[in-house]
Amino acid sequence: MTGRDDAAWLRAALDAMHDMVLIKDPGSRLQWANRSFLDYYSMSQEQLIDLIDGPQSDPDDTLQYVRDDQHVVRTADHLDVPSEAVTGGDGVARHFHTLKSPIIDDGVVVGTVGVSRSLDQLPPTSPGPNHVEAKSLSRPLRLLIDAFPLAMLLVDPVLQVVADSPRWANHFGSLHASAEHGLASNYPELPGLVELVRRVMQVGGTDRIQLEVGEAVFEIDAGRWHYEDNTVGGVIVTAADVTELIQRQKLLEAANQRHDLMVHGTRLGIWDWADITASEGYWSPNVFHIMGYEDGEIPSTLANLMNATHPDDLPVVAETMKKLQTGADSFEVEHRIRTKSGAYKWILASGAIAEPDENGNRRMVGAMQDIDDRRKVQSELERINVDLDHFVHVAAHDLREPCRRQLMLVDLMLEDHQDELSEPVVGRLRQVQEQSRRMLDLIGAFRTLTNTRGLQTEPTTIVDLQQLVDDVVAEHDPDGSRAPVTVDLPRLLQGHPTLLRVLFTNLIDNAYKYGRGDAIGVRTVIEEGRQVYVVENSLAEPMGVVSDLFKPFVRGGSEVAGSGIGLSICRRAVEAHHGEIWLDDDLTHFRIKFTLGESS
Amino acid sequence: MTTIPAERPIVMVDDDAVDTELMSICVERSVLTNPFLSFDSGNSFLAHMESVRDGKQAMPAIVFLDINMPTMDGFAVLNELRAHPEFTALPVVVFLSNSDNPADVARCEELAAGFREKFERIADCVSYLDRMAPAV
Repeated sequence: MTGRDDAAWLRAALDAMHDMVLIKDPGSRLQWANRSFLDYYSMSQEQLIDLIDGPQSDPDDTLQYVRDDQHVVRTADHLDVPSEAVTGGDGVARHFHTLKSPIIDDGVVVGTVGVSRSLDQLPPTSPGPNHVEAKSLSRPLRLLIDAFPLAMLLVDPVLQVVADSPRWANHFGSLHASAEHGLASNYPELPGLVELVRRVMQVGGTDRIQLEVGEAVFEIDAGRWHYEDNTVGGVIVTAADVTELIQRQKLLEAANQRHDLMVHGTRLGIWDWADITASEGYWSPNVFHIMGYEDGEIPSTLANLMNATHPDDLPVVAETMKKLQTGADSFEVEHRIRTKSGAYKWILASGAIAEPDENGNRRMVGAMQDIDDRRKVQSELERINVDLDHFVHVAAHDLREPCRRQLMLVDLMLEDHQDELSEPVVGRLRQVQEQSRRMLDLIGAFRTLTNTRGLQTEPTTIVDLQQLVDDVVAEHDPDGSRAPVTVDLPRLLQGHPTLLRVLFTNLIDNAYKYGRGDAIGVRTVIEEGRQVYVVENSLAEPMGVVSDLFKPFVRGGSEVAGSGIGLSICRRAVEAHHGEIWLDDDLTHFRIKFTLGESS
Repeated sequence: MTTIPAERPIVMVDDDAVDTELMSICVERSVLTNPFLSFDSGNSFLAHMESVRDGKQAMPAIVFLDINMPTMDGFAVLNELRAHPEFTALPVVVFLSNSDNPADVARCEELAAGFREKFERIADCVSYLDRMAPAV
């Protein structure tokens, strides 16, 4: 190093970087720029200095970089500009990540040093001396190195460390206190760095690697520099912490991938309008496909969507649009849309609207889903339900009446001719009556079950449970001759009144039916933090284990009277209240437990 | 309970011959002495009621009207009957297959008619008729 001008070698070193380096005075006047910068502008140092000549070139104080320089000088703080557009000599604006730092001497800001790294690609650099003389660097080099926005390491041709910046020491540790300045012995844990420097020293030019140090990721740049007589001066190494940048890139890639998968990998049609009033927007290929077109076959305009909407659905679509224009921030609407073939198909259109941007535009992004199959199944279901209702009606009358007449006719026969008939014949006739009676009960139960379905749409009210159960008991036992019922329930509940009545009627009916005459209890307990309703009685006979007791037409046993419909009706009533119902394990008691959640 | 005058006919409108026959037997077995008249359709009944208006036939004591009949159901018959001022006070009992349909019940009340489910036992029907006899 002896005999060499310090300033000259640092200039040469900075010229070897492929980041652009600018050194300015506190008045934002350019002092020096490195080769990358000059190459980018295709200018000489002098031309550039004339061009970038401090605030006087910007009398209106509108240039962002001047404001940034002044900010650094005023605050003596480092400044990180993640993205800065700079128009190069070819007239093309590229984006740079720029770091600016103050050069401080004895507490006074004597200048700034900035480093700009292309976000697009490496700026073209070539190894070789910089023949253009800059204005002189008026401050000691150490200040500049200390100020340098990137971590910097200078290595001589025999791979001895000449200098490191504080940022370098901060990231990778200070040089060992010993006189040993060998690169390899100072950074044994960074073999990648040593290898990079060795390679650049041999081959020349610049090179870049990524280096992981703990959780952080650094981009390490190395460039070989030369003195004016072309002797190799050494390698300048800079390190930029790109941990956050890489994380941002990963997130962006994931978001892009998510978007691509959503657009191309799902059946959703995605559309995007720059503003809710925009006439044309983006449609993903599936929007076209859902409408029966090839990608891009028709213009992606609002008019094309509205024109294709089924005339009967226009009011609901128009209503949705109106709500959006008057401040709603999301929507969901099902409507029919005409496809290319002229046939209509059901779609579900949904979307969300962003807050207005600085121009007052409200971006709207949404999806279109082909729900034609679902709607067809739904209307088929509705048709089946209508058929079922009709069937129930027919069953209730047309099946019931012959049965009832049969009962009457046998009754008449017995009244008129019992004395003339033998005992076995009378017995058989009684059996016929019993079977007719059972058939009538089943038809009645069947009606009740289907009626319960209709009752689920009954509006809810506040129901006085105590009163309700008292009424049910009075109905079952008008003269108080049956087993007593002790009722201890919370008084008020929001629910479907008729369903609740059906529920308690069936349960108390069952309790009477299966019980041995002890008092029937109707109360609540707390189990696992839930309020559980209990209707119980001691059983006359232990109950057999019955699965599916809550399914229609399943009975407690063949000897047990009833149609087997009562408990399935109870289950429907409980489910309409978002509750559960179950039979207690204790087989010596008839004990049904259920919960009543919030009513629908 | 409606009591009915003994001299006027008990009228049954039902398309089912078995029901009509059973009712006629029950009337016979009851304490009632009224004549029994039956019609198998709403139209034939309404034609008869025209003659009643003309004074050619006696006013019924009570009408038992089946709800489920082809062509013209019980409510249609009742509607037409009540349209005549002469028949607004005529006692009518509508026979329902199921009495738990609130819409049917409401229509009966609207048309000033009683309603009940059809009988399943002879004895029940006879005692129902017995209670219509004027107190002795």
